[in-house]
Amino acid sequence: MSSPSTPDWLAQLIAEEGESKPVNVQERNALLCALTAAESPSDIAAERHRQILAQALESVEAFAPPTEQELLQAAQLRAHFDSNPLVLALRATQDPSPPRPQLERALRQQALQHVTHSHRARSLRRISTLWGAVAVAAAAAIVVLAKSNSPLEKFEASPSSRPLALSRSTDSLFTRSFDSTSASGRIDKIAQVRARDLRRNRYAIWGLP
Amino acid sequence: MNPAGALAQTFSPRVGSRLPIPTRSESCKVIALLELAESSRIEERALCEQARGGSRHALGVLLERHGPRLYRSVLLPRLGSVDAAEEALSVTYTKVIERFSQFEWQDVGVYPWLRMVALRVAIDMLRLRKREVLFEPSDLERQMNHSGQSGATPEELEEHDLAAAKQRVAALLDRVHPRYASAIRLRVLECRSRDEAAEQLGVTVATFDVVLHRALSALRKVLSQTVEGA
Repeated sequence: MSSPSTPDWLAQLIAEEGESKPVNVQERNALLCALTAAESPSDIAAERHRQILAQALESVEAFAPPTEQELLQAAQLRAHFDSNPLVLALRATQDPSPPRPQLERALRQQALQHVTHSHRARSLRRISTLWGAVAVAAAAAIVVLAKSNSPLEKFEASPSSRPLALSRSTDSLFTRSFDSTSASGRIDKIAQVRARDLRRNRYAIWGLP
Repeated sequence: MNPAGALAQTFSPRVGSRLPIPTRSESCKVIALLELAESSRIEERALCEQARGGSRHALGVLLERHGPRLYRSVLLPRLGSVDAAEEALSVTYTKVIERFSQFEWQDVGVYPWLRMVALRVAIDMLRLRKREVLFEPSDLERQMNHSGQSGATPEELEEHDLAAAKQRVAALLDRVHPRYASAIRLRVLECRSRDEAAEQLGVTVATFDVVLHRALSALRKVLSQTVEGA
């Protein structure tokens, strides 16, 4: 007798051949893929082909003898290895270090100086709603007071233990002429030095060593 | 390991293995850790309430507690330089203080919210920097969307963020020639000396220098392709 799950022909086949091992879904899909690939193979996707080709060409390059220019560039890399931005980025991503405690504290203190001002401003808004003109006068007084205590002014007034870097020409940054067709190296150098100046000035203003 | 981390480890399910029945002393330890985690959560909630009320001290305690973790697991790995990460931490602190009144307490504490602020700051900074960064703004946006729904503890989020950063490095190295990937791993990630790295690669030191130069150039190319793709 036939049942919905086991038709007569299957029951007969099982009786003759015995129970077959149940087919794993993954195995079945893999088999279907293999059969389809053999029966009607499709073209390789253009992007995938480009990747494979690039890898193969890279293999050639990886074992090729170095050119003069590469030897020069390798020497430059060796000389500035520990300050190479990509090296630093890889190390920072793979094994990041905690922040310098003194700097973290300074950043926190600087940010917290805004708390008093913002909280004061919120209170001010509520008071002004309730007390109208009287509060406006008070707000003006508080704003004057707040302005006189602004962190910026404190920083400007604070004595700096170190001389600050001043704006200057970029001529001193370059000891030899650079390739005029590629400006990125020169721009990077200028940006790096200017960022360092800014950072040092900021730390000097905060009183950090 | 801190109490919450120990708790997470104790209770995280292991696929394919049965959890052993804890002994009496282990049970006591778990209960003690639970009580400790609960008390620290209550304390953090009180701090958040005070911070919302404008308490400078409470904000200072919260930032002191979580700031270094934000720097190490979120900002530095994604921005790739100490200078950028320090600047981002400063901006994050300022934004947190400006917007803390918008924070609403959740049972997982304040860290997930702080992390979201830090990720947003990192995204803004990545948009301005197109060179020598291993992450794209879109990568961070995906991380924000993915982790925004989970109720993970700070320790779990930290672990997740650090692992994601390592995976990113591994994925990038997979896209360069194996010889180049080995050179970068040995010299940059494992900080081996040139001699040692050259020996491992089976080449002279001079050849290794060239291979490393080529390796970093190839990685830079992969990164620029990623930028163009994004």
